[in-house]
Amino acid sequence: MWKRIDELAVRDLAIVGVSKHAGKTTALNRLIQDAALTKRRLAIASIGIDGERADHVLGTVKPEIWVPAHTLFATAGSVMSTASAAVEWKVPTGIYSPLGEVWIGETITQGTICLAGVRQLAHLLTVKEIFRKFAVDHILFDGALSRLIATHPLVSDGVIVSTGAVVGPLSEVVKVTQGILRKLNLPAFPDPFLRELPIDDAGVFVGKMFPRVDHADHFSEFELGEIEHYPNASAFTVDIRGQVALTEEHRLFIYGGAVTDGVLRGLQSRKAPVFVVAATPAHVFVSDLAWRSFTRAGHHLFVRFATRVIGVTVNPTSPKGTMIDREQLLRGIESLTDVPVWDVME
Amino acid sequence: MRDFKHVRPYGDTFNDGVVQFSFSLPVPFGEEAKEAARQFVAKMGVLEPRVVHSQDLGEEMTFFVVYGNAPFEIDFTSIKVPKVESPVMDFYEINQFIREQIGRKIVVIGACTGTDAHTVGIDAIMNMKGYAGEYGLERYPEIQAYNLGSQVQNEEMVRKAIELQADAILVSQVVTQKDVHIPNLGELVDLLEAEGLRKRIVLICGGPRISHELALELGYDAGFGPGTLAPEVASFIVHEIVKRKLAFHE
Repeated sequence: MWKRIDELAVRDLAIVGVSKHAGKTTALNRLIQDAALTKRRLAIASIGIDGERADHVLGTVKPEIWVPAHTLFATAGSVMSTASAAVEWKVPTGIYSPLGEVWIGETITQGTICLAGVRQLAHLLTVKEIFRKFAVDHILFDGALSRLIATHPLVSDGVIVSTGAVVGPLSEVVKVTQGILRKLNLPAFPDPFLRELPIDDAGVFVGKMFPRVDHADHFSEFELGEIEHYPNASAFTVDIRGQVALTEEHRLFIYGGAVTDGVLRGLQSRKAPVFVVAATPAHVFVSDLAWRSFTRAGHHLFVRFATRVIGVTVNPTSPKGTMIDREQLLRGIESLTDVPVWDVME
Repeated sequence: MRDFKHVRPYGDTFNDGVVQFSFSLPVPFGEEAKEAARQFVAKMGVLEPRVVHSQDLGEEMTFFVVYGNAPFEIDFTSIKVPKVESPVMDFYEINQFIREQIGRKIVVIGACTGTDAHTVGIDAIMNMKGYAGEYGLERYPEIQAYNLGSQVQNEEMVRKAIELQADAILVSQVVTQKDVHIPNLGELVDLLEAEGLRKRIVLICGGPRISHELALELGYDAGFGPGTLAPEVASFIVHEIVKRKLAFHE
């Protein structure tokens, strides 16, 4: 995995699962073990809870997180009572949780650690900033459930997707993984102006696009015109259609917040093509049905900041006791993507 | 002095380790059904399983009660369950705290979200009459509480949070079959993050299968289990608002 990470020059990476128990922690452990062989210095944080021995939903045994000495990590100190690594606590983060304040620690011996307390995008950014001060080579962010927030471009510059038998039979695993990969592989709208817009800017930007050729469809066949900002519009507040006297040239809709089924359906009947641009894949909340319908109508969905998928890990066993044939699972996931697919238990 | 390092279930006497299982198997009632139940419990590692009751449920289904002996013990002294650290205040102290430390009324919205229609938990926390002798949040003069009811979709929760400028969101999840509450609770967090709201809202979930650990894993600030009363939730919210300096909206 590290070879691929180095090829892509990824420095900070996120591991996200297609669901709970998809094998994120196993993938994280494999990355840590392989990094130890090449003396990479890692910093690790989780947006959920990791390293605890039993799962909070199923009660099943979970993999512990083993790290070498001199690994930095962020956690609420109270969960470290069951960990085996000796730790030097460095700095408090000001992030509070019912498990106590989150601190940055450094292991002074090898052993297990527990990660908890970091739970928001703002927290990830806080710990990332602190980690950077300790001159680490890479920061690993372990996701939680199927949450994609750790893939935010301010947090990570590459993502590993974990999938596996926990989702259901092979056909279901393939379907669900396809949905996540489709979202994570959303292309970036190529106009550089969009990247200069503040990333957390609220509201909707609406732009005019003028066709250069007859039957223009691809964005390169349009001339980008004036773009206006409507700060009060969003998927949840004011419908953009009530804010602007939309003409045929209004084809570009850039959402600062969530892009939902309602957004796509509201624009679907407009003359094709319409270009809807979400900030990142983590801002896209559309069902397969609404997305398909939008695309079939000749429209396009983009993001301002694309995510780089490093690879996919598969876990043929589920903590619920079910198994999928390893080869079939690998082939099924490989059919979805050009990126490497790994069985991390191999 | 009781030995809390070596705890086994209590059936008739200390440390006899007797446990009881009740479950149904989709097999026709009869001796083979009883043997299936016995084998099923034995496969869970329970010693000496014995079927003490079986009942024909019809439709080739059988209900069982099985006793057995637990083959292990628990070290009670090693168990640590996270609890909310902020002190629990009473109705009067909470309102006083809001007046003095926050300086304005706070807005709390609550609902059962997704497909969940079981409002008993959220009603106990939110409704004026409250529960077990404690007023609900609607009764607190310094709290504007909005109980949005049942089967509220996550998008509607976000819409209401924006419209009402909510300081805190309470989500109740009683229906947890097939762990349906997990993706539903997670989606709300992700929507709030996408809208840039997560950092300025105190986000709490509650229900029979909710703990603080699960809540943190889901991206919530706290999780309250059954039996929680309004002052516990309100105390957490107001302390969190002050700690995170959320008292002043933009």
